[in-house]
Amino acid sequence: MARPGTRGTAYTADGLEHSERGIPSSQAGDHLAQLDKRARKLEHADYSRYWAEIEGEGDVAVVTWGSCTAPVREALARARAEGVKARLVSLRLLAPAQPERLAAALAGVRRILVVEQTHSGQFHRYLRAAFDLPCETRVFHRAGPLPMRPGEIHSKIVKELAA
Amino acid sequence: MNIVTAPQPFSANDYKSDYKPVWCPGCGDYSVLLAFTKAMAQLQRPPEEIAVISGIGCSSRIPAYTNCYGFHGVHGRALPVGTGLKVARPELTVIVAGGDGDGLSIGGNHFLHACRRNIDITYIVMDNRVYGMTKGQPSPTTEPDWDSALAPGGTGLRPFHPLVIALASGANFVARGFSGDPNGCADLIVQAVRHPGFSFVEILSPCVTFRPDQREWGKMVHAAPVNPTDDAARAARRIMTDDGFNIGVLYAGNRAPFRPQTAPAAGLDVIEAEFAL
Repeated sequence: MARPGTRGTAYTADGLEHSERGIPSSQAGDHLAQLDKRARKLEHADYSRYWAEIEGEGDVAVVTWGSCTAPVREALARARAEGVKARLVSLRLLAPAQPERLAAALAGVRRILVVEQTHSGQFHRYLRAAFDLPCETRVFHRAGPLPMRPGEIHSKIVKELAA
Repeated sequence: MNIVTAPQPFSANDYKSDYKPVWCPGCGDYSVLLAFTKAMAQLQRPPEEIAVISGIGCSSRIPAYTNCYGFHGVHGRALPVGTGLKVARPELTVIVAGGDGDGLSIGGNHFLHACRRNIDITYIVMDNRVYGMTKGQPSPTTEPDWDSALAPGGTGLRPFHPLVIALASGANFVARGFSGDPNGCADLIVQAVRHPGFSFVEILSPCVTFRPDQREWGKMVHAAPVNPTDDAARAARRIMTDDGFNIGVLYAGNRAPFRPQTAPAAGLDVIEAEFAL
């Protein structure tokens, strides 16, 4: 993108829907071209291997995201100390969904526990909408404001995954 | 004796793009665009060394109608963008432009603090005392008794005094123009750009569609009867007590502009290293 001060390349960066030359436009063609362009950018962006934090081995896994990650990690450490073999998959990238990569991360897993701090389990709903969950799925969700505690997640791991 | 003047490489037309504005026929903003291009021609600054920053609204469409670098961004947030640009690129001439709703309501808080920071930029508010783009709602500068379908009987609210608030907040240059006098506006813009620090120019720019009564403004405006002062208290008293149609430079202060030190420009690799996992 041209830097202000460069001769012959002046443009207006426009926040409204605009034509290829950056001029505000409400034409259907320009609207579609912009939507396509934004989708293309998102689709082809390099999200790197840090699209998710994937840790551990085992035929069960906890799938979570965001601020639940640390208490889940602590709960899994306790469970592993008790002999449970489980993986952690914490999504750092929610959209665009990476179904192939999640499938690879969950290859060979027979059961997953989705952990999320929500009232209605919308992360689980999103996972079901955007991914092919390959195995039996259990969900632990609870509303805030009290943060998720490793102890309560550990009990769920023992009850839902280790059994 | 022949007077030989140096050739002027830039004409007003060199600052105008080939896009036709969406403004209504008769809108005051056409004349503000004309005044802007005339002012830039007087300043003879190459178009690519000028950045025109705006928010949202009819008048905020102005960047794409110029041949300068433009940024047509988020409603009410033109001043933070202009401030950031000037701090990072002090060698550019930064002009922020917009309307009374964008600048004094949605962006009112930014207006106060841009005046206070006194960065060397120029802020042009095309004041038509109405939200034109959204079809005629009263704005912060609308008269309390302006009767309309959307505000029957008027709002009953005291209008905002942009020039006094600019003074109270620390703007270093305060002027009022009228779009019906593009040459006069051009002169105000030139002075505003040349004056160090934050320069505020309110241009009365009629909305003939939603405020047809403003067609009378041409008869109501008059040159300010006194010279500009560098005494903010005196300027504020004058502006508070005038009829709102005093045209001219009303205050030109001596506050030193704020020029924060910036870090040396960093390469992309340095920035990326900061975010590496």
